[in-house]
Amino acid sequence: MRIALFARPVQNPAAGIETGSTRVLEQLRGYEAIPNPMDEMGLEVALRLRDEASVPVTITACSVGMEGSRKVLTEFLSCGADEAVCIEEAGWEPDGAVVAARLSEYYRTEPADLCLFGARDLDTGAGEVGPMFAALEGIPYIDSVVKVWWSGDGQIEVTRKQKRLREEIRLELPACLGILRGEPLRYPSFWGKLEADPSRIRAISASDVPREPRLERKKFSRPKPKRGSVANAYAETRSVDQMRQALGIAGAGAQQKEDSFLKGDPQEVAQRILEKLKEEKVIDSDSLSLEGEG
Amino acid sequence: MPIGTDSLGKVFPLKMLDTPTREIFWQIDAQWVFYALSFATMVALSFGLFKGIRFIRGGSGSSARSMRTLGVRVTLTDILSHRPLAGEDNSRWWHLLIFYGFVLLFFVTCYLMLAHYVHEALFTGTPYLLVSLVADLAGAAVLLGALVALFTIRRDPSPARDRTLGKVVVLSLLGLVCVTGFLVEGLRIHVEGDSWKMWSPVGAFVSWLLPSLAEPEGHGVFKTFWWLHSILALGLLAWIPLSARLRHMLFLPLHRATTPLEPRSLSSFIDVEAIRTSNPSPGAVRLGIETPADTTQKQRLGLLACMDCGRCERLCPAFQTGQSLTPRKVLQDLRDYVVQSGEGGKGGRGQSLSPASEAITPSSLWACRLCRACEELCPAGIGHVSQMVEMRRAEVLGHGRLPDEGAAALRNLIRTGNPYGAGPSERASWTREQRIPPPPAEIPEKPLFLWTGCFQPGDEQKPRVLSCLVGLLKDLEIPFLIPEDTSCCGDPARILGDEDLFQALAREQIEKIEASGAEQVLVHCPHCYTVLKDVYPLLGARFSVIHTSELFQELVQEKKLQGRGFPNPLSVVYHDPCFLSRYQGLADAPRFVLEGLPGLDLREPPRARREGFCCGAGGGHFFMDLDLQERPSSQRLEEMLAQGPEVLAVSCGFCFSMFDDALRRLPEPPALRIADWLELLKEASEK
Repeated sequence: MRIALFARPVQNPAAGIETGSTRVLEQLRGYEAIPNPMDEMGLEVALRLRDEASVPVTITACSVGMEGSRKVLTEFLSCGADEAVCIEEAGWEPDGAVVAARLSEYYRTEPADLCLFGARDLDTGAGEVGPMFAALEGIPYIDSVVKVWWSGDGQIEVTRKQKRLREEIRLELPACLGILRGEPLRYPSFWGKLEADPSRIRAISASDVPREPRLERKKFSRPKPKRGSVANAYAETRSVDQMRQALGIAGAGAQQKEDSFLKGDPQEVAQRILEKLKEEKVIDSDSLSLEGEG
Repeated sequence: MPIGTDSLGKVFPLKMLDTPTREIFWQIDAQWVFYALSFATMVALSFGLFKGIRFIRGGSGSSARSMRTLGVRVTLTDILSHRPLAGEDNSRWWHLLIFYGFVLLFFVTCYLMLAHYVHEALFTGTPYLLVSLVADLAGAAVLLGALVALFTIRRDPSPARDRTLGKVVVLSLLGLVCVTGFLVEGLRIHVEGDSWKMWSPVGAFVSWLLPSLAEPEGHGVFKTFWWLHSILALGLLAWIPLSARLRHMLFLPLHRATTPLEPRSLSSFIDVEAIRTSNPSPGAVRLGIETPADTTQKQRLGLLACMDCGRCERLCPAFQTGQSLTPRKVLQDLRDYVVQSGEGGKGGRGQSLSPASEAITPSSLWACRLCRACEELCPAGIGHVSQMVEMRRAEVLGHGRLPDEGAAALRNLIRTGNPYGAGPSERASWTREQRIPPPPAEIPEKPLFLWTGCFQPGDEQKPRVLSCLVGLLKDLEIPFLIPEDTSCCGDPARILGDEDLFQALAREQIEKIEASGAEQVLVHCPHCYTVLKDVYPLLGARFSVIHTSELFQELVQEKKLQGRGFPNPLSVVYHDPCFLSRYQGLADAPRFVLEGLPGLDLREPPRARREGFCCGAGGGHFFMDLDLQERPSSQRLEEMLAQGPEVLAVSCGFCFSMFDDALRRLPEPPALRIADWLELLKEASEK
């Protein structure tokens, strides 16, 4: 039996932005990619299912080639995944639908009985890859799963929760689950870290697998943000300080302004924040106004 | 037979002797039975000793340094004075009575045997009188000590007092041996008469108490009690190596003599990098204590030296707040676990009945604060903490098993170099704010490397304390530099059992420190200080490490640090951090600095210095928030508040946070300021 866990790296949100620095963010310690927390829970689900299964189970961790994917896969190997696959493509640009297509293409070469996804991504909050993948493969997808256990041969039972909604569902494999909550991923042992050699990660070029004919990107271009906007500045710079320079607000090396604490009626505070943002040219003066304003 | 009358008018037979002496085996016909019993006792004693030695030798090789260090002089002084037993209770005194009484009785018995077989003159005249007196007084001392001990055990409601049947049985047996001995002596005096009985005062008193006995009847009773006394005494001797409460007589002196005198490292060092490069198979290398074979010979000697006295529980923050940890029971369970593995406790690696961590419950293992209070009070000098750390190491390195909160802290360390998950921006922002000038190009000495440690997001205390330190160094014009990119010293990884992560972080920091060219590192955090000073050298560090209290003590002594002090009297009580007072012996230096501040009234709390009570943050507990009814910090805060201070001075960021939390939990928090002593020093130094 095979369980496939599809994971992606995200940027560590606990790391704060270092103002005044001109170094590239990703090169700073603490800003390195980490596994999506719900993907970690997914791996823990897979590991527990393997421990409790009455038949041999192989866990394959898979990630579509992005910066940090290999790091995530190495970490998953150290925690107990049996195999790791990295789907790489030169000039790759991440897009949910295309990722789902690539996973689907890979899945057809190496199908699994159970596919696990993190229900939400930490950075974008999105969770569309799993459902799209399941739709492409025609297998059932259950979202918001909080608990999984075996229920006879070739069957599992899951509990899904969404606010006050709670369901217990039995389903036959193959199936696809979006893990929302669960036990934290176990800590890797020393032996696990020794075995997690990056050379164990099997790299697959996206061009080596048959393409999904129903979904193929024909054209991709970056959006061209308006000159002077924050998005344009970010697109062209990689550090907060350069961004400030580009926007002409408190440039590199300048002293930080004193913090001010705005007190008062929420409406008043919101108005003052809006005026400050316009004054600092963080937002376009004409584009935003509060409701009720003329 | 001539008769005599004593001062109370009691009549007794009077045996007239020319010189003081007596027959050693008087009225005892079947002496061969006694010899047979003695031989059996020697066999049992030897067998027990042999078993103990075999148990010790079954362990893995100890570190050569610890087993070869012979603190003979210190050990002898400790044993003869019983200094390690000094404390609030009277255990030192009753144990001294039993100890000296037992030793003297042993020598007296040997002397009697010598006199019996070598020359009767050795037990005649003055030697007889002296030996009789010494024997009586020694027996009285043992009996008195046993009675006081029994009374103390019975009356003491302290939870640290273990009223196990075993202790009562041993003490009762000791007392019974003495009582039967005095009865034998009293009966002899009563039946035979003795002109020199006043040299056996207790025996004389007993004989006076006894009713009149005719000779044949008296002889019969005497023989009965003689044999009873002999069997009890020989049985006690044979039981010594087999009883947990008696075998410390054999093994404790040896254990103390082989315990290093200087502060010990947290646990035995393993070179993880060397293990990694040798590419071993799982279980082929000793990572910690998991199987019986993993216990070292030194550790096994300690397990045998434990006398189950329970002193280790008196200051244990986990035990005193009702948690599942009992340091004493951990040692007993570990010893039983090793013994049960059979073959003298050898056990093959991977062939254990169950991992050591299951013999000791996980909740006990992770409840430990590693504060070393147990070791401080242990008369046998056993290293409880190092064994806990090695068991944790086996759990984490071997299996990745530890509490989830601890695992989260370790993951943060791996990802950000900070156990709180904070990125480098916190420290970087603070460093820039300090506007530290570069050290002058030509200075007679290299600048101090100021170790800042980890910054916690949202924490205001640590930046404030470090700012005070920087301000003081600037005012004193002491050249120093602050690193831009050092991360955590690795202590959380070490104490949580991930020695691999710790050594990786440590090697990284050593490289950065040495790349800066600094030769001396100034540290304020006691945890960082302990690790940098005691463990980093094992990984190749060549720099020296100084604590802020040592530096400022020196400056105060040299009168280089002066200030106006506090205009209004300020009452302060100082809490000793475990990693500074017990691990490093630095309890005086912070006090010296504080007492030198004009206007500061320093008050001493109960349980201070090396016997201070832990705040509860140690052992990784700052990262593992346990749901407790009572917290060690609350108990300690109550003690501090009883001194009526305006300020609670600390020397550790963890202690600050724990007391701050405990203060906020009070239903009506008093107006107490919690401050680091560096802050007080800075305030007092401002001109």
